[in-house]
Amino acid sequence: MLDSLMQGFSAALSLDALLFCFIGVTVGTFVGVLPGLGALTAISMLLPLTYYLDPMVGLIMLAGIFYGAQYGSSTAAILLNIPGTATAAITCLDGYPMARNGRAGVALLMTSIASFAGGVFAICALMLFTPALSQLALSFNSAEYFAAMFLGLIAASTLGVGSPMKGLAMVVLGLALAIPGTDINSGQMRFTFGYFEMAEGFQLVAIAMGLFGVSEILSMLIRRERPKVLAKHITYRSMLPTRDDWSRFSWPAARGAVIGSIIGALPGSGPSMATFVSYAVERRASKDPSRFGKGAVEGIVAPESANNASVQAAFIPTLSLGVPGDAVMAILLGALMIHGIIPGPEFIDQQPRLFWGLVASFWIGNIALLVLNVPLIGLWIRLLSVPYRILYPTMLFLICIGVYSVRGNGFDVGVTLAFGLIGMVMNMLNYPTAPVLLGFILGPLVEEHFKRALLVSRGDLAIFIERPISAGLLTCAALMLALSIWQALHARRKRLAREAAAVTERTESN
Amino acid sequence: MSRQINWPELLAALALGAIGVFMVLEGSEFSLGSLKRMGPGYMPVAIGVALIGFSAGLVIESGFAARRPFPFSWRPVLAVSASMLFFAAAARPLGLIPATMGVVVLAAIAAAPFRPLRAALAGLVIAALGYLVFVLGLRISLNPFWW
Repeated sequence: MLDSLMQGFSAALSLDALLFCFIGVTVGTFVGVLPGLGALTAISMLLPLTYYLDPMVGLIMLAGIFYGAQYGSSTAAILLNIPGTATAAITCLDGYPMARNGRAGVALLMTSIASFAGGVFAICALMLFTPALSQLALSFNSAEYFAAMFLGLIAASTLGVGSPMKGLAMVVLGLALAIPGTDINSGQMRFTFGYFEMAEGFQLVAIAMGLFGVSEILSMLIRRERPKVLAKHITYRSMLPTRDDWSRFSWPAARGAVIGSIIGALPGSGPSMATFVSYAVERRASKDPSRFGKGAVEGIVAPESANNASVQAAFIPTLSLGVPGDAVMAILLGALMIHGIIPGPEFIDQQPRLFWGLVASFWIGNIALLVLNVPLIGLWIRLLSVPYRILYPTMLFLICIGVYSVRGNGFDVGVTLAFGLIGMVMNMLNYPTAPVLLGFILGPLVEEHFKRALLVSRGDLAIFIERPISAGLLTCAALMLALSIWQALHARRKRLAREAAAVTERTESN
Repeated sequence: MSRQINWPELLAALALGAIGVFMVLEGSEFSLGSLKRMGPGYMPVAIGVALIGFSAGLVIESGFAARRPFPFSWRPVLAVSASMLFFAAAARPLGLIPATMGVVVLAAIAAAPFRPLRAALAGLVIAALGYLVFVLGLRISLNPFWW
């Protein structure tokens, strides 16, 4: 393994790879710091760049945005009490009180180091488990793949916040969006609406930028949200933690790293859930839980360690099985597919340079992020004051040119706008957008494995339950579905009971 | 207790159902095949049926959905739409720099107060940077101007 890792480093230390790793983590920190902009938006916007890059370099850059955002997101949480991205919401709980107590510098330093610690742990887990898992997956055939992807889709759509029915419906909508274009088996054109541009189907870039870029811009403009800025000067001296702070660092960081790695590697549960769980665990483990919410160091260290760990660990299923756990991973998978690489169990053997180069870039990127986020923290704080009226037209321009450049036609820009408007309506009505993308990217793969499994079994559906691994995965999916239906009914019954109580109360008081 | 219809939720659910119906109708023009050997029409029809099912479920759910007022205004929607459509139409015939200026100025209308001069200036800077990065740097085949 060390040999392979050294090869990876030699690939990741090439000038191109270093440059784009640095660009990725810098952009990631940038969108992480700015409230309202997330990693998903930034990754969608930079996706077209990967057409021009070597697949490894492109992947290194996109991955860098993802984990870079985890570092940056704590800054706004601590200084403004606004999470820079959703995953830092928990960090507000104790980070902002620390800032109010005049300990903002300490909080910023501790969260950066915690992110680093979580990342390091998860990268080690990634190096150990990904090759092992792909060995196991070599015995998989289409039935298992179908089951694994099915489980991933169910998990991603039901574990989110809000109505699980909407999540599932959006996955199916994503599957539907994957249909237009040329049918792989028969070569017939389906659902092209007479446009020759549709022969290749919808472009991934157009859907991603529409749903996560344009719709976010629109939603922010409509809500008239202008991130308020509280520029503050942080001196290096104020960042020095006390001995007491350090004594509260190691165990929470370690627990956060373990929890984050496990949750990150599971399908459907991402960094947000990792931060929630690790914060809850810290409170449970603490001798004095009342300190939480008032500026407890453990309360920022554990979640920040957990969210970065979960982001790195999310690569385990993606790179070993080719089954992405969330929308960001699905986009990265899509970026590889653009270059004709479909990750699966043979991925590490066939593309050792790509896999180990990516792993090496994680080491380099995390170290770069530590430098970016500790000595240069002042720069990012000043960046919080970039006026939104400059930012959003620039983003819109980047979206336009990005989509345009993929195939050099304006049709895709129009498609992007359409998905932007759809995404805006979805945001308003609490329809989740991420499952659409997941369905769109996994759709053709799911379809192919389903067809192939049934071809092998001569049309007998029993193949999916006769093979033990496939049966196990499908059972998990069924349980998850049942659980979410039960939860939905339970919540509804509770609300109905509450409404009924309110009505009787009103009638009684009349 | 009279239950009011939650129109936005209901319409969204029905729209999904309409997509489902469309998929079934359009998909059944292709050969369906069998489970053993699926034709190009099989998946569209299956997905369409699933969408219709979810649509029905969501119609029922819309009766229970919490009614939340949400803010809306046409100004950003129209400005952003105009801005992107302008780029789509103008990039090839007019060239990158005029198209970019158009994107930025039209987009700036979305947020009040609109200051045309400042927007034009921002457009110029962004267009120049865009030309450097995308045409000179990444070699996208777009002329800076129409000549």
